[in-house]
Amino acid sequence: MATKKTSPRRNPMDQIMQASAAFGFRVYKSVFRHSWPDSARTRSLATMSNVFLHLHPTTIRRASLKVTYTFCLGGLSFFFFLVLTVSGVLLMFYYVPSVTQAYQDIKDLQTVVFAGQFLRNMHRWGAHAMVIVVFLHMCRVFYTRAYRPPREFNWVVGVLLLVLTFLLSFSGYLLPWDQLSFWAVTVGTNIAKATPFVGPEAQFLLIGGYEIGQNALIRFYTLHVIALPLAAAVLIAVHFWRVRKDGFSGGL
Amino acid sequence: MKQDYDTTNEKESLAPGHHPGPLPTDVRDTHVWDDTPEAINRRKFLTQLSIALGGLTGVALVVPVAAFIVAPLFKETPILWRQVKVNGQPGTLDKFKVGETVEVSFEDSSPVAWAGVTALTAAWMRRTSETEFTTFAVNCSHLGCPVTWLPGAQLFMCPCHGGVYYADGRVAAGPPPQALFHYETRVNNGNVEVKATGVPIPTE
Amino acid sequence: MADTSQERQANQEQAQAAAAETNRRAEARRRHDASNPLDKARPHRLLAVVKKEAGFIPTKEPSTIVHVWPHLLMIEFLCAIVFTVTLFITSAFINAPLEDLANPERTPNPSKAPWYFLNLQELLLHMDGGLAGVIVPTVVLLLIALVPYFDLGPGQMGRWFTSERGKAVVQFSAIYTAFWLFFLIAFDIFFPVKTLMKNLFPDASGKGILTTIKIPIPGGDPTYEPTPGGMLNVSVTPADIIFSNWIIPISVIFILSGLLIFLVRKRFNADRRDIFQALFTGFVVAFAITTVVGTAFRGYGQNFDWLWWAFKRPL
Repeated sequence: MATKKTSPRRNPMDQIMQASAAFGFRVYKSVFRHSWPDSARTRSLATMSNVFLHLHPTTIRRASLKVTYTFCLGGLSFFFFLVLTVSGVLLMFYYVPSVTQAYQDIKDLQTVVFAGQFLRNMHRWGAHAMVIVVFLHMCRVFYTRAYRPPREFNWVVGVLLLVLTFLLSFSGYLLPWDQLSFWAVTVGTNIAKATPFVGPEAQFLLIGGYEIGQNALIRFYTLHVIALPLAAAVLIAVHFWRVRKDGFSGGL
Repeated sequence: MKQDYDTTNEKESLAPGHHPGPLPTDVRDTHVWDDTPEAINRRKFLTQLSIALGGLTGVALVVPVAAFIVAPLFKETPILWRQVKVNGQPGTLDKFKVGETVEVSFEDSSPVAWAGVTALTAAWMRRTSETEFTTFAVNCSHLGCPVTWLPGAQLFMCPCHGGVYYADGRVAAGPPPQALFHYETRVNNGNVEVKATGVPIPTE
Repeated sequence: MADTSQERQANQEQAQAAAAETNRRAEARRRHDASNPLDKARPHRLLAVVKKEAGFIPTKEPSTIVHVWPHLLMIEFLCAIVFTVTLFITSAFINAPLEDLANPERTPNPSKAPWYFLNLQELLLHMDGGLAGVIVPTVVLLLIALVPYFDLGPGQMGRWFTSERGKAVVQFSAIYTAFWLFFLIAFDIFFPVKTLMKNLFPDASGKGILTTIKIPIPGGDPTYEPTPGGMLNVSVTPADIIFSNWIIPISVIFILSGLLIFLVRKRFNADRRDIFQALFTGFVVAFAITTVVGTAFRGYGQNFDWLWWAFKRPL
């Protein structure tokens, strides 16, 4: 006996809603490939199948999560690196590394460009914060003895990253080309001049001449926006990869 | 407290191939979720709160950043009438003869339009009648080389690719696709002024 | 001490309640897992094949394992939000400094490096430039980088200061370093070592015996002007400078570090890890104090100035 399905005709609005919900879910699945992470499997997939999150393992010791153990310092160092990259790229839109234009461009950023002063502040304070946070991160790792085997080499990478952070901050210091930056870098590079045996040569190469001028500005600019960030990015990748492979040290 | 691996045994952990490995990732999460209705509700609320908080922070950051990028689009270049200069002297009406073309200069905004910096721009100015002036941009309409006025021939010549224009700016010969660009000009209290727009407008 | 029956009953009830709670949780877990049949699949895959002895063999089932989503990511998320908001507010209200256009002909006094190099600039006042600006930082960074290769003693990791003794050592070293550093800076202010040495070697600056050494040139011409008497003049750093800029600073560094090691061994029976902690603390405290002094308390001519910070040097 063939009984015709006599379900009441659905409201067209409902049909549209259902169809769009189904479509939305398809799009969601195409991006994340698993449903909302609320089960053991989907929670593992959430970290495993995401290119950014898979810097993490899928599971972790609860002891490693103690905020009073890490104080989030490593993550914060990376956070500030990202903030500085984004704000730095934006500042580059307006900044020309020329002794005749650089100062004018900073003035323009502060007076004419919308949110220019805000982004410059963010870059400045973020840079100071990164120096402090990276240093504190080193102290944290030392005092918790988290450099124990097999993490010795990652500690060395970390020390290199500390040096790079100083150099990044220092190379950016010259760029506004005001009295503060000019004389700070003059004093800073005079320290390089004091290197035994090769001091004057080291200073000459660093500033491209005998005194701070256009050559020094373009060298510092190139180091600041390309060479040092690239080196830092590579070392950060190594640093993270090894943390991922060796596991978090907390609670061991 | 027993360790996951023995860190005290240095010999073993230092030997090649004997580094204690990472924690295996296949260990099941032993966290037991409280799934009483209150707990579920609280979790839902906190999830929504975090999403809202993250969204709010994101917006707070994206607004200045996006505005920083697109703001020049909305920045109007001020259009000003500027008095021209002839040989460095202020361009008053008596400095021009009818039917003569002379080089003038005036202040215009620099290529970095938002900076508020001005620079001197050159132009060819012709007094066509007692009260009328025509001002031509110096740039050839072909590739932008500066054109020269030849008073004998009454022609503008472009040195780059041989473009030639009549005295009224129309193309006489050569590659230029259109007439010389011109500026709006007026006489104001005996002073000759041009409308400095930053971007010249076509003649035809 | 025998339990009364009442107490025994109370204990029993407690145990029953605990068991019931455990059962409830297990049931919750079972229901939770059952909500997604895929959960019964193995949540791991084969990633690599390794030699048996290279593999990690867990000695026991770790009991405190949680998923990174949401436990760790939630912490990272909140941390990022807090610092984004903080940086946002800071940047909205405090402007980055910008002074006049750079002018190579107008040297400000004092001229200072960025604040994180002012520790080196502070050292520069008390020793040779090469020693303060290059040798000391390089050696310190090298030693720090090498720590894990020498800190091989027993003891756990993942605990602040390793042990209670370690904590005490760190506190002691911090006070020790702070005391000596303030003492040394104050000493150099009231009794400048460079002047003391100059007074000690009055002949040294300029033409003293230690300034130039004459080396006879074999077969040299005694009448040849640039090397009179057939002697080769080798200019040497004057003795006062050698003492004040090299020998005294290096000795102070070594003696104070050695004394610190001796004291923590004697006082706390420190092991190697504790000694590393003591030296590292010395570095951190010295770094902090010299940075603060160099930034806030060095004024005109790099002289000590209690109030210089009040003039607000831009960072």
